[in-house]
Amino acid sequence: MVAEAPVVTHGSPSGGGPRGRGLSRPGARLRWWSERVIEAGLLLAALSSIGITIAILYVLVSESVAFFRVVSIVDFLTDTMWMPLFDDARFGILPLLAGTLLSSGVGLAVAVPIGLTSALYLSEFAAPRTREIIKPFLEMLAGVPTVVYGYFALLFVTPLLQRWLFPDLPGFNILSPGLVIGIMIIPYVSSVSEDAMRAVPMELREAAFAMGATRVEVAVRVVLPAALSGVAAAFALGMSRAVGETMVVAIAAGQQPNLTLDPREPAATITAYIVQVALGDLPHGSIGYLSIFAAGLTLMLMTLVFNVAAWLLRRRFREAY
Amino acid sequence: MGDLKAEAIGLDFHYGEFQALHAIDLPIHENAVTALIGPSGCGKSTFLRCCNRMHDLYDGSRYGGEVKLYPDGVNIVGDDVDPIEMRMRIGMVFQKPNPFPKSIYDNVAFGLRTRGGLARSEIADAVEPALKSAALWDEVKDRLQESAWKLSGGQQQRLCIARALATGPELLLLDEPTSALDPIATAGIEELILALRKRITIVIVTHNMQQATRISDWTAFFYLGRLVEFGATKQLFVKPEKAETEAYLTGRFG
Repeated sequence: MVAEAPVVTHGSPSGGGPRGRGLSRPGARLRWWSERVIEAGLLLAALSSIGITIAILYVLVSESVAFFRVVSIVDFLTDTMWMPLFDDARFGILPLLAGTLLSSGVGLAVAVPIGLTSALYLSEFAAPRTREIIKPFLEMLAGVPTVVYGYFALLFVTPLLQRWLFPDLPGFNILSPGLVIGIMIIPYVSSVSEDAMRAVPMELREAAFAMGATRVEVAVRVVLPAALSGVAAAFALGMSRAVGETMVVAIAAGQQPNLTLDPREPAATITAYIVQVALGDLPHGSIGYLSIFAAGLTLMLMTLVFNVAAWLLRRRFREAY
Repeated sequence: MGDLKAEAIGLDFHYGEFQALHAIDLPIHENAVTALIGPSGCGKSTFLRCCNRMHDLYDGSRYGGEVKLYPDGVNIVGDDVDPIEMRMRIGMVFQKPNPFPKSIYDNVAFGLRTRGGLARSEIADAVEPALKSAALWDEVKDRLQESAWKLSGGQQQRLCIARALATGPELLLLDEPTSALDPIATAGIEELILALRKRITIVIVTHNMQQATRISDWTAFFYLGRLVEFGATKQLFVKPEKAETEAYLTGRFG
């Protein structure tokens, strides 16, 4: 990769290159080379993320190929049982997928309305001073370690739900970690949406105010639609975070693969399964070991689908202020 | 040129500590075009934005004196007057075309929906005449559901005029409506203003003195936050009374 770097020669401020003698001062040649080296270093840094992504994909795909040599892809996608560690092993991803979608669904049901409302408030209503006070608290939610959220779900939210709403709720369930994931991703949803709303030009708000609109009407009927693509990006980010969340569900959801659509039941998610197996002592190359790569690949494809969907939405509602 | 539609009487305006307008006395004649001219920062836009209380959106603004809106003579800048009520009676078009990110139809319907209590059919009945008044109907009648942002700059500005006209405002404020447009689109807007002036009272801020002579009946020259001179456009441009006005008109400053 280093060998490619000197290809990037645009934007050289000295304009001449090493042979540009007409303009050269003492040291011009040295400056030209140091610029090249810095540029190459920057390019390398930018390329590293691409390289790492490709490397991860390579590992996931190659190990998954080994997995799918043993388990047919049809069984993987249609079998309703996930029992990889039994003698009579079954590898149906559906129960894990259901657990993942259910916990993320509950999380989004919490995070989207609250995140969006707080973004609207902070962007359109809050006085600068109020905003300065509220924002750090909101952002602090994102800084709490997820393991703390996990115990919060297990030891605080679940008992609370048992006492007030669902007396029969089992100690491990999807609902409680789902709610807590929701709280965790509020700051992501709200700060990305808020940025999009604040980017809406003042002229649009003035136009609406000049027609006699109230602040609520301006926020809901003008700012929100104008910021739609950014809001869609916020949803996608929230969804990716929720789908990928591991610790909270591993601690509070029960780690039992369970094909259900009822969030009150215990279940396992893809991430919880991966962490469970990865921490065990499975022999390298065994089918149980390989199964976590197939599960990981599924997870990655899922987030990819959400990101592409968000990208399409963004293009569909592209702003051109 | 008979009655007054509005009248500023001793209007002061402050941004925080800074006094932007000093005791402005300015009559706005009914069903005529009044042009506000003057160099940048002279207060002409500030004056315009007093007329629909736009300054209320920003902290630290303070009005003094009166802007009376006739026939009822309500003081637009009065402390006890609801700015939203005032803005519903007064239309405004801005420098940069600023249609909402909605369909052409929804843009024109926006003000009517804001007022509430109107049936769908009543709104639909108002959209077409508004677009016709803004000389835009023929260009958009087959694509009313398309995004307003797909229109050209001149079309967008005429849409903004249609949007302002749809609610039947008593006074139409234009804040340099052609400064972001090319000459052909500018000519279209000027033509439109001339067509509208028999029906509605218009106040227009303009940087372009030729534009003021082409479209206005009355002209007010602002300088350093004060109204220097006001008069019939022909008279003011041909025979200004004040030396400052003459200096500005002949291009010696500004």
